[in-house]
Amino acid sequence: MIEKRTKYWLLAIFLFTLALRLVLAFYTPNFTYESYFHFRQVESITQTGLPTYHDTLSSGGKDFIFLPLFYYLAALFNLLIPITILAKILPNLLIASLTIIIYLIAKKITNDDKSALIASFTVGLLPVLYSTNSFVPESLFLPLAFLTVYYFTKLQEAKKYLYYYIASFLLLSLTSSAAFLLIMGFGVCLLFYFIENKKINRAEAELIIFSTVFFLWLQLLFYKNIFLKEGISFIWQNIPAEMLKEYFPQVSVASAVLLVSIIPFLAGIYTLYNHLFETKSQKSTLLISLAISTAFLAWLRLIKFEMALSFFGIILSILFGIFYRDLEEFLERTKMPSLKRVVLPVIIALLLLTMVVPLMSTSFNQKIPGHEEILAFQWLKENTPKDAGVLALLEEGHLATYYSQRRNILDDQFILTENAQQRFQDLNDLFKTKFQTHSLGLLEKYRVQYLAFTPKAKEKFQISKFNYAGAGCFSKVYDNETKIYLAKCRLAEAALGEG
Amino acid sequence: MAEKEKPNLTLEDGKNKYFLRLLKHNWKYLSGLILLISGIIFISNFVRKKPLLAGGESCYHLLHLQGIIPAVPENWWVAVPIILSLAFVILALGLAKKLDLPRRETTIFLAILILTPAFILPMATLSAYLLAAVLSLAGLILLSQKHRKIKWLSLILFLLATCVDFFSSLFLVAVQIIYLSNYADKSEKSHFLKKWLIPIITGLVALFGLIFLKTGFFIGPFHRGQVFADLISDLGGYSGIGFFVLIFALIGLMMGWKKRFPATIWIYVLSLGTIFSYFLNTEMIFYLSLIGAYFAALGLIAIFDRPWALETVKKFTLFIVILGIVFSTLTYLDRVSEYPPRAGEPEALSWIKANTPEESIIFTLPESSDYTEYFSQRKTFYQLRHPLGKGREAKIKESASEIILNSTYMDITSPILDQNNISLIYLPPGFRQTYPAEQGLLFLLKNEKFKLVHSTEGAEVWVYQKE
Repeated sequence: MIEKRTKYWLLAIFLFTLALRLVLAFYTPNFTYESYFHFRQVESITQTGLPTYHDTLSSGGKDFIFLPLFYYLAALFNLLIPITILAKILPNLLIASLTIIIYLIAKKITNDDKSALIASFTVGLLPVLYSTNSFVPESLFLPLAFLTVYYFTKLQEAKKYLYYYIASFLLLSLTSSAAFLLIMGFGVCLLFYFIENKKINRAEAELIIFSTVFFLWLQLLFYKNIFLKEGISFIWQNIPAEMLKEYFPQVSVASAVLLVSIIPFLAGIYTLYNHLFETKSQKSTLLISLAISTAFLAWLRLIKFEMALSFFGIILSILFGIFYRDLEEFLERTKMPSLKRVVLPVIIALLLLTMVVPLMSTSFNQKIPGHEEILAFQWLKENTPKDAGVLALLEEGHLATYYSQRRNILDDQFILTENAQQRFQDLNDLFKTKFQTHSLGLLEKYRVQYLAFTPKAKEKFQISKFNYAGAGCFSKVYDNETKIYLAKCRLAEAALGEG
Repeated sequence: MAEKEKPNLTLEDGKNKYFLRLLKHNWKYLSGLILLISGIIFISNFVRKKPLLAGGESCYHLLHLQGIIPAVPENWWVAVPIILSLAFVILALGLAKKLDLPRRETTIFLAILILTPAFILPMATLSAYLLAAVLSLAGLILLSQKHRKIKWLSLILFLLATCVDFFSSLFLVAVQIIYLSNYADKSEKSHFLKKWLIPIITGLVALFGLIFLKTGFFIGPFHRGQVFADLISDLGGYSGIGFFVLIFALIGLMMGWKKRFPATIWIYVLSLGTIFSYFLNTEMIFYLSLIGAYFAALGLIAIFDRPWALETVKKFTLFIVILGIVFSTLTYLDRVSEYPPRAGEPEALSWIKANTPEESIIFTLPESSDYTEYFSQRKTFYQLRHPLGKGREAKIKESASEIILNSTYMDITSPILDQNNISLIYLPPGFRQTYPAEQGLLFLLKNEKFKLVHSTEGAEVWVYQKE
């Protein structure tokens, strides 16, 4: 049972985190580029009851395969709340709920309210989680994953936690394939028990077997076609080679430390070492296993950098709570136990100092389209034929399909995209090439008539315009910060014209 | 009247009357499963108007069999894989009974094996490895008899099994050693050399066959092997083992070591050798699947035999495991009916047979060569063969084949075609989707020296005219 005072503090942390996130979310207009793909799925469910599994607009027409729980949950709320409001509230509410879940886990491990509240406060301010305008399934995955971990740690207390665990794991498996992180963590945990010759709790071992088997089966069921088509390279999701660096970058310790904040990072690493090798505490073994497996998979570049960092950061927050408890116990044993009174305010001050600026920076530096860009894509919907194709940057691909409702050449949903590598190269060529015949050939190949030149394209390719968009074959049909051109010629005509 | 023999079942089995019935009549149910799976594949091929026997290996053997028994219609050979698969199951059960192996473990092993894609493919094709396995099992049954003359009869079957390839023979010798070390009648007094004479003779004959009769280290390959994909069927490989079978095989590997069954060390050595040979030639997946199914059975029994703290979770987990294995099998059955030769290919190749000179040489994809030769009755330029068995000439042809497929210059391709008297190019269905249109062979086909003479359902026949 949680004490009343602790409940108030926990509620305060939750409300503070939620308020901060909502302020930042509403302060920043629009959403991250990838969010618009998820909007379409939610709206499709709201209208038809089913997601868009086959899309004629994306990358020349393709199938999508994804786990549906997040979309159905959002669609449920979408019945009452418009998507643009829902997309700001729901993900932030879910991430803010991590403060409560992390409190519960930390309380279970430390058996100390203050330490648990510290952990909760830390996760509430974790910079890597401050993509406040990102409407993605990961916002449901993270709280569900740690809820599952919480129920796992409570298994031995009552039978009801077994059912809660099974239910939350089921929901987790239907949300994201990243549930694999949990499975790996369980595996590493069993390995530690085996190495240290510790007795494994039978119920826990059986649930781990069940979880592994169930997860594998569900993945096979949903992603059968991807496994058959891509083979082992399904891990890299058909991402073009040049983009792999972005999704699976070489882990930079400096940027990682900044995103999880230096104090939880250092304290977490110390606690990890201490509990693993010195005290060999069984309670924190699962957490440590999750941290190690996440770091290992990230190092092998088998999971996306952002996901790995988020997961790792949350675990470090819990470990930081454990560190705080250990620190208090240590001070208790020293000749200056009165220092305990100073520790908490100092830690909170340090956390605020080291986390607030990075979290604001994360929130303000989200990759979001400008208002003017969106207007341009909306203009395309009203003023172009329904079967028209649009040239837009890869990241803007979802703007073309969502706002313009027109075909794009490529977007960041690479799985099951035919010739993704070739499309990626051609897309880049269309921005960089100087030759009209080359560009017209590619535009014909992808049946694209409209070319959107946004400020982002200008910045990305360091060009001020399309170098081939001469007056003869291209006319400017929209002129603002974003410019839209219409390709009037076909390749044969252009060649004659040049001749 | 002799007492009816009670099946060798554990107490646990008696709790489930369906499982008990399955064990009691295991040969019926396992045979029924084989007939069901084979039937699905053959009926699917029939409906899609494809040859009933799929795969390059079938055509490779049919080509040779035609020379020996020309009168047998092609479709009659369909009976061979069915008979061999049934024989495998019956012989395996017979051998298990003879060696007093637990019926439950044997049944689960065979059930897993039958549902494994690496065993399903030989059930629907003419497979030399399946034949070798059947001959080996039959030989072991004879070897396990008490009568000395019958024991020696087994040598005939073993020597026949060595005719497949050298690595199959090594596998057989290893199995003979395992049998003689652990299961042979230890009360029987025999001279050391006499006891080991059969594996020694088998090994020597295999070596003789390799050196003098050119049996080869490996038969085939009959498709382009991919080590990882061919191992796990769910990753789109040619055959392979399912995810769940692989996981439980790994568990079984660990459990088996702990429990130390008879012949454990030998089985682990055999496993290592088979894994090594798989990396050399992915066609060895057949033998790897035998070992995989064995350890998967061990793993499954080790996990589910003991009472669980959470019985409901146990039942649900077992249910999902069975679902998972069956799902992998069904996914594979869906794919195997798309294996070459596809519909339209026999027709296109028969056109070649009817309309081209007998001495014509066809260039096609190496993995299509075997069935191209069978249906067209013409020689192909180059077939896939294992590097260990390749001579210098084969290596030259291999690189020439790559050049023809990928070169964009007639100055380079034309001399190769001329020197090797290649007058026909056969493009199987799917070639145009796999190879780029603006480079390589597809680009060169626009040249006036090439003429499209026949096309049906994606299969194309081109004539190359020398200057």
